[in-house]
Amino acid sequence: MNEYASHDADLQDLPTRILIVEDDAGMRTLLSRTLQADGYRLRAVPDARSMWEALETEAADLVILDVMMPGMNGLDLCRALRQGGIRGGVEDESFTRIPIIMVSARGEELDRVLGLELGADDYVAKPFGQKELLARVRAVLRRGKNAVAPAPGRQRREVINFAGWSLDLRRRELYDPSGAIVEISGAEHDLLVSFLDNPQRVIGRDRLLELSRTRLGDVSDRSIDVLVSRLRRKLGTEADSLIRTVRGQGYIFTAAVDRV
Amino acid sequence: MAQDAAPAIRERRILLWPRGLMGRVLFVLLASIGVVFVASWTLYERAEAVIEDSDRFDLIGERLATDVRVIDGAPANTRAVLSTMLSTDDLRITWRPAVAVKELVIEPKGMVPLHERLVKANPILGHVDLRLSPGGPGRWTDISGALTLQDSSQLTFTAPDILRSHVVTQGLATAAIVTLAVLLAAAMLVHSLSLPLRALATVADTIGAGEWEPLAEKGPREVRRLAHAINAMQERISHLIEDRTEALAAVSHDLRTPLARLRLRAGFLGDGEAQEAIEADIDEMEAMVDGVLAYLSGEKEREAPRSTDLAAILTTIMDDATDRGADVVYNGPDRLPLVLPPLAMKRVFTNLVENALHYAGSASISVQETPYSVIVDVDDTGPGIPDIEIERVTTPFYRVESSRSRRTGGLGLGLAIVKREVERAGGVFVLANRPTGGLRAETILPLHSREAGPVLNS
Repeated sequence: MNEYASHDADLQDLPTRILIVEDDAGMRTLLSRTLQADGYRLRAVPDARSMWEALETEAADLVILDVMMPGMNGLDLCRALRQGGIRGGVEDESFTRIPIIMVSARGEELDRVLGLELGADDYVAKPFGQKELLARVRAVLRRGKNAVAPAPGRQRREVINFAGWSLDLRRRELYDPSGAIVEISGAEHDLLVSFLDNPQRVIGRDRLLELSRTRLGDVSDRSIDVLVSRLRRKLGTEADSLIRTVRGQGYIFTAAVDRV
Repeated sequence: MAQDAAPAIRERRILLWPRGLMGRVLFVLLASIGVVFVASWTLYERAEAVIEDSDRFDLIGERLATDVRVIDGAPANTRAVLSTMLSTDDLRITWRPAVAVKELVIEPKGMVPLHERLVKANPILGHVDLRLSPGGPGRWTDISGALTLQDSSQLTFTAPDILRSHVVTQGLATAAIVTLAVLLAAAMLVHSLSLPLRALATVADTIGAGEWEPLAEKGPREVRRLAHAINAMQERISHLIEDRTEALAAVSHDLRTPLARLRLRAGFLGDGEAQEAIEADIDEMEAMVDGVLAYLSGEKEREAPRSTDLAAILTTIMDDATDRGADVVYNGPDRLPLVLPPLAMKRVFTNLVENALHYAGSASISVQETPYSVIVDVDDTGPGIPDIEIERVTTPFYRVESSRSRRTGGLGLGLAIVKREVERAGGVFVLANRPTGGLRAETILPLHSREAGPVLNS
């Protein structure tokens, strides 16, 4: 059994309840087996109607949604859940807060962005392996738990501005002061979000490691330094003063942060 | 010899016969006008001579009759002097003794009416052998003639500027001008006739090479019908391509679910070695499916260019590769904002770096900025590509022969996507073997895309 999974279970005293909505029977079985083996409690349904029924019977801590399903597809379902289930006939405000992972055979960048914009917490492209699936599930569950006092609707603020730059959390896109899109990797995005969550405060490497670990699988002490230097390079000339090294302690993000 | 001569003749005939439709029509037109021209020339020659001033002609006739009477009556030795004395500007006469008489010219048919008119007014002229003829070249308007007197001596005369001049010279000039005008008008008409044909050819040339635009169905009926037929054909072809593309995309998408099942199932295998082998196979299949879908999606829709930091794209690609343990270096600026389609550029340089890593195990990305462009070189130290194949590797589904036998995990679409996307961004993509060994993939992006504002022509 896995240390993270047991850790999650300890916190809640109950195994995390995952609901899988997937029309392909083979995928349903395999997803269930994979997640069950990791200590989660699984329910798997083939379509939208049975999803609403399942949610009515018992709440879920995470929903894994297949995008391409006959009838109401995953994207529509995701939107409906985020709207509190109005379109599903079962209304529950808590639906807006259920973490959602979209699973899709359409792995193209644009599809991914669309899924995230509709309110999914993560978007996993087929064909994924067991390790990738488990890592994503853990990351999404941890993020949900770490979200301090979730705002109404659970949604994070969408855009964060700092020193002329802006980070679009939904699309995971960074824009420089001139408006040019600046490509950042997933790890860099998560590191930047950690900084933006704690502006103008010294963050130790350990804390940064901990913060980033809620998003990423393996981040070592050393790779935090590498990530910071990569991020600095992308933030351009003013980056050294934007993310200052505090000798012996860690880093401080100096700019004021404005959430829009 | 004869065998040698035959092809030469055929070749010459082809040279004379214009290639273009317009040339041919004009050629035919010119030939017909030429025939008309020559025909009229001959007709003018034979045509009835027309006198400019009939009073003057009658006067000249009277004077000629008088002169004949005078000279006929004078002694032979005074006739030469007398003829000189009788000559005026209107009528020059010369007398020749019988011994010096030349053979008489035959009177052209066109002069007969004038002859009859002269004889009718002056019966004396009917008693001598009178031959009239129009003036020679350069003197088209003159009338000259010869009279044989009773003693066989001869009186020749010339009356200048008595025939209507335009009958011949003006006629010819007018004909030439008309010919030119007709040719000009015909050239314009034929040109406008051939325009739809040319447009047709241009469009037909681009069928299958990207977007097509329906032809305007205008021009002569035949051209309209041809345009209509080509439009219908285009439609059929594009439907066909669309159907096939959709089928291929659907199959590729559908393959991902069984691949996902396979990969998840592999995770339950106890045998680590088998698991790894299956994973590798799935990776390979996934790469093919991704390649096809990337190629097809770009085919269908284009990504809009926007302000993009190219340096960030390149360093992210480098960092990702480095994290996987690959050897990639980047030499260039930290920031490089350009107006480009970001996802397409990410794919372009990912493909190039992956290619280099695949064939050489390492890649070097360098960026140079020139006043007009940004040049991105992706170099490797691999075996390069044989020169004869270097042009072809950017065509879809083409793979260098030697790569077929290797486990390349590709369908030969990577470089095709690169070339297409770079060219769409207004750039140039060049592959070349480096003199020091290895391959250089050079991408030249225009600098007009440098400003943050919208690109006008890309």
